[in-house]
Amino acid sequence: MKIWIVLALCLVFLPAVLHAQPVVSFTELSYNFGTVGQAEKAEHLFEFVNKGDQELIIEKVSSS
Amino acid sequence: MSVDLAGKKGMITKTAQVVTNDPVHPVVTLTVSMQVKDDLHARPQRAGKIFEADCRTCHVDQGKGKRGLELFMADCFMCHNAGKSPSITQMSRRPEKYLLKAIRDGLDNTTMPGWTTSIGGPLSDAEIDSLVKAIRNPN
Repeated sequence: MKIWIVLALCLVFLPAVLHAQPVVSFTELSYNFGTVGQAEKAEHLFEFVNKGDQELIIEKVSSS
Repeated sequence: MSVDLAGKKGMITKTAQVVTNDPVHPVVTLTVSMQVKDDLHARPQRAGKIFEADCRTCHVDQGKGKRGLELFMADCFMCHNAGKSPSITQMSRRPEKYLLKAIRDGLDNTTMPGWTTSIGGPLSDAEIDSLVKAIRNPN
Protein backbone atom coordinates (compact mmCIF):
# COMPACT_ATOMS: atom_id res chain seq x y z
CA MET A 1 0.00 0.00 0.00
CA LYS A 2 2.75 2.39 1.02
CA ILE A 3 4.61 1.77 -2.19
CA TRP A 4 1.56 2.71 -4.20
CA ILE A 5 1.21 5.99 -2.27
CA VAL A 6 4.84 6.80 -2.87
CA LEU A 7 4.53 6.03 -6.56
CA ALA A 8 1.41 8.16 -6.83
CA LEU A 9 3.15 11.08 -5.14
CA CYS A 10 6.10 10.76 -7.50
CA LEU A 11 3.77 10.88 -10.48
CA VAL A 12 2.20 14.04 -9.14
CA PHE A 13 5.41 15.92 -8.33
CA LEU A 14 7.74 14.54 -11.00
CA PRO A 15 6.49 16.90 -13.76
CA ALA A 16 7.07 19.89 -11.49
CA VAL A 17 10.58 18.72 -10.62
CA LEU A 18 11.41 18.00 -14.26
CA HIS A 19 10.16 21.44 -15.33
CA ALA A 20 11.82 23.36 -12.50
CA GLN A 21 14.01 26.02 -14.04
CA PRO A 22 15.23 29.56 -13.52
CA VAL A 23 13.55 32.33 -15.49
CA VAL A 24 15.46 35.58 -15.83
CA SER A 25 13.25 38.65 -16.17
CA PHE A 26 14.64 42.17 -16.68
CA THR A 27 12.37 45.19 -16.09
CA GLU A 28 13.83 46.82 -19.23
CA LEU A 29 16.28 45.79 -21.93
CA SER A 30 17.29 49.21 -23.23
CA TYR A 31 17.76 52.73 -21.94
CA ASN A 32 18.29 56.04 -23.72
CA PHE A 33 20.18 58.72 -21.79
CA GLY A 34 19.22 61.45 -24.26
CA THR A 35 21.83 64.22 -24.64
CA VAL A 36 24.78 64.04 -22.25
CA GLY A 37 27.95 66.06 -21.87
CA GLN A 38 31.40 64.52 -22.24
CA ALA A 39 32.25 65.25 -18.62
CA GLU A 40 29.13 63.56 -17.29
CA LYS A 41 28.86 60.01 -16.05
CA ALA A 42 26.50 57.74 -17.91
CA GLU A 43 25.42 54.98 -15.55
CA HIS A 44 22.23 52.97 -15.56
CA LEU A 45 21.04 50.12 -13.37
CA PHE A 46 19.28 47.26 -15.11
CA GLU A 47 17.20 45.32 -12.58
CA PHE A 48 16.12 41.74 -12.91
CA VAL A 49 14.37 39.02 -10.93
CA ASN A 50 14.22 35.27 -11.10
CA LYS A 51 10.65 34.29 -11.89
CA GLY A 52 11.49 30.64 -12.00
CA ASP A 53 11.58 28.00 -9.29
CA GLN A 54 15.23 27.13 -9.54
CA GLU A 55 18.32 29.10 -8.65
CA LEU A 56 19.32 31.64 -11.31
CA ILE A 57 23.04 31.84 -11.96
CA ILE A 58 24.70 34.72 -13.80
CA GLU A 59 27.41 32.84 -15.64
CA LYS A 60 29.02 35.64 -17.61
CA VAL A 61 28.63 39.30 -18.53
CA SER A 62 30.41 40.83 -21.50
CA SER A 63 30.09 44.27 -23.05
CA SER A 64 30.89 46.02 -26.30
CA MET B 1 26.03 49.59 -16.96
CA SER B 2 28.39 52.57 -17.21
CA VAL B 3 29.92 54.29 -20.20
CA ASP B 4 33.11 56.36 -20.26
CA LEU B 5 32.27 59.43 -22.35
CA ALA B 6 35.70 61.06 -22.42
CA GLY B 7 36.72 61.82 -25.98
CA LYS B 8 33.44 60.61 -27.41
CA LYS B 9 31.03 62.61 -29.54
CA GLY B 10 27.83 61.92 -31.41
CA MET B 11 25.44 58.97 -31.12
CA ILE B 12 26.84 56.24 -28.86
CA THR B 13 25.35 52.79 -28.35
CA LYS B 14 26.73 50.22 -25.92
CA THR B 15 25.52 46.67 -25.36
CA ALA B 16 26.11 44.09 -22.67
CA GLN B 17 25.33 40.41 -22.89
CA VAL B 18 24.25 38.58 -19.77
CA VAL B 19 24.61 34.81 -19.87
CA THR B 20 22.56 32.82 -17.34
CA ASN B 21 21.39 29.31 -16.75
CA ASP B 22 17.86 30.24 -17.91
CA PRO B 23 17.30 27.47 -20.50
CA VAL B 24 14.78 29.51 -22.52
CA HIS B 25 16.66 32.83 -22.59
CA PRO B 26 20.28 31.94 -21.82
CA VAL B 27 21.61 35.21 -23.29
CA VAL B 28 20.01 38.59 -22.66
CA THR B 29 21.27 41.68 -24.49
CA LEU B 30 21.05 45.03 -22.73
CA THR B 31 21.49 48.28 -24.67
CA VAL B 32 22.14 51.88 -23.66
CA SER B 33 22.32 54.80 -26.07
CA MET B 34 23.01 58.51 -25.85
CA GLN B 35 23.87 61.60 -27.84
CA VAL B 36 27.21 62.89 -26.56
CA LYS B 37 28.06 66.55 -26.92
CA ASP B 38 30.76 68.73 -25.45
CA ASP B 39 29.67 70.22 -22.15
CA LEU B 40 28.96 73.62 -23.66
CA HIS B 41 26.44 72.21 -26.12
CA ALA B 42 25.02 69.43 -23.96
CA ARG B 43 22.76 71.78 -22.05
CA PRO B 44 20.71 74.77 -23.20
CA GLN B 45 22.72 77.90 -22.52
CA ARG B 46 21.31 81.29 -21.64
CA ALA B 47 20.46 83.48 -24.58
CA GLY B 48 23.39 85.73 -25.44
CA LYS B 49 26.06 83.19 -24.49
CA ILE B 50 26.88 82.84 -28.19
CA PHE B 51 28.08 86.47 -28.24
CA GLU B 52 30.81 85.68 -25.74
CA ALA B 53 34.42 85.18 -26.66
CA ASP B 54 34.55 81.38 -26.72
CA CYS B 55 31.34 81.07 -28.72
CA ARG B 56 31.23 83.96 -31.17
CA THR B 57 33.89 82.49 -33.45
CA CYS B 58 31.36 79.93 -34.66
CA HIS B 59 28.08 81.68 -33.93
CA VAL B 60 28.73 85.31 -34.91
CA ASP B 61 32.05 85.96 -36.65
CA GLN B 62 31.23 83.69 -39.58
CA GLY B 63 28.58 86.19 -40.66
CA LYS B 64 30.73 89.32 -40.68
CA GLY B 65 30.23 91.30 -43.86
CA LYS B 66 27.39 89.05 -45.02
CA ARG B 67 23.75 89.84 -45.72
CA GLY B 68 20.51 88.00 -46.36
CA LEU B 69 20.62 84.25 -46.86
CA GLU B 70 24.42 84.19 -46.62
CA LEU B 71 24.20 85.78 -43.19
CA PHE B 72 21.45 83.37 -42.18
CA MET B 73 23.55 80.37 -43.21
CA ALA B 74 26.60 81.74 -41.41
CA ASP B 75 25.05 82.80 -38.09
CA CYS B 76 21.55 81.32 -37.83
CA PHE B 77 21.53 77.94 -39.53
CA MET B 78 23.60 76.29 -36.80
CA CYS B 79 20.65 76.55 -34.43
CA HIS B 80 17.78 76.84 -36.89
CA ASN B 81 18.47 73.42 -38.27
CA ALA B 82 17.58 69.78 -37.56
CA GLY B 83 14.73 70.45 -35.18
CA LYS B 84 16.65 72.44 -32.58
CA SER B 85 14.84 75.68 -33.43
CA PRO B 86 12.27 76.62 -36.08
CA SER B 87 13.54 76.07 -39.61
CA ILE B 88 13.68 78.84 -42.20
CA THR B 89 10.61 77.32 -43.86
CA GLN B 90 8.65 77.47 -40.61
CA MET B 91 9.82 81.00 -39.91
CA SER B 92 8.94 82.17 -43.44
CA ARG B 93 5.28 81.90 -42.47
CA ARG B 94 5.70 84.41 -39.63
CA PRO B 95 4.73 88.06 -40.13
CA GLU B 96 7.56 90.44 -40.90
CA LYS B 97 6.99 92.42 -37.68
CA TYR B 98 7.29 89.27 -35.60
CA LEU B 99 10.57 88.27 -37.23
CA LEU B 100 12.02 91.76 -36.88
CA LYS B 101 11.22 91.87 -33.17
CA ALA B 102 12.38 88.32 -32.53
CA ILE B 103 15.77 88.93 -34.16
CA ARG B 104 16.25 92.41 -32.69
CA ASP B 105 15.12 91.70 -29.10
CA GLY B 106 15.29 87.93 -28.82
CA LEU B 107 12.58 85.66 -27.43
CA ASP B 108 11.91 85.26 -23.71
CA ASN B 109 12.35 81.80 -22.21
CA THR B 110 14.27 80.57 -25.24
CA THR B 111 17.91 80.49 -26.28
CA MET B 112 17.24 83.11 -28.99
CA PRO B 113 19.13 86.27 -27.98
CA GLY B 114 18.56 89.78 -29.23
CA TRP B 115 20.96 90.52 -32.08
CA THR B 116 20.61 94.29 -32.45
CA THR B 117 23.62 96.43 -31.63
CA SER B 118 21.40 98.67 -29.49
CA ILE B 119 21.24 95.96 -26.82
CA GLY B 120 24.75 94.66 -27.25
CA GLY B 121 24.24 92.29 -30.14
CA PRO B 122 26.37 92.12 -33.29
CA LEU B 123 23.90 93.05 -36.05
CA SER B 124 22.95 96.41 -37.47
CA ASP B 125 19.39 97.31 -38.49
CA ALA B 126 20.34 96.84 -42.15
CA GLU B 127 21.72 93.36 -41.46
CA ILE B 128 18.60 92.39 -39.51
CA ASP B 129 16.37 93.71 -42.31
CA SER B 130 18.28 91.59 -44.82
CA LEU B 131 17.78 88.54 -42.61
CA VAL B 132 14.04 89.11 -42.37
CA LYS B 133 13.78 89.47 -46.16
CA ALA B 134 15.74 86.27 -46.69
CA ILE B 135 13.66 84.35 -44.14
CA ARG B 136 10.39 85.55 -45.65
CA ASN B 137 11.59 84.59 -49.14
CA PRO B 138 13.84 81.58 -48.60
CA ASN B 139 13.79 80.58 -52.28
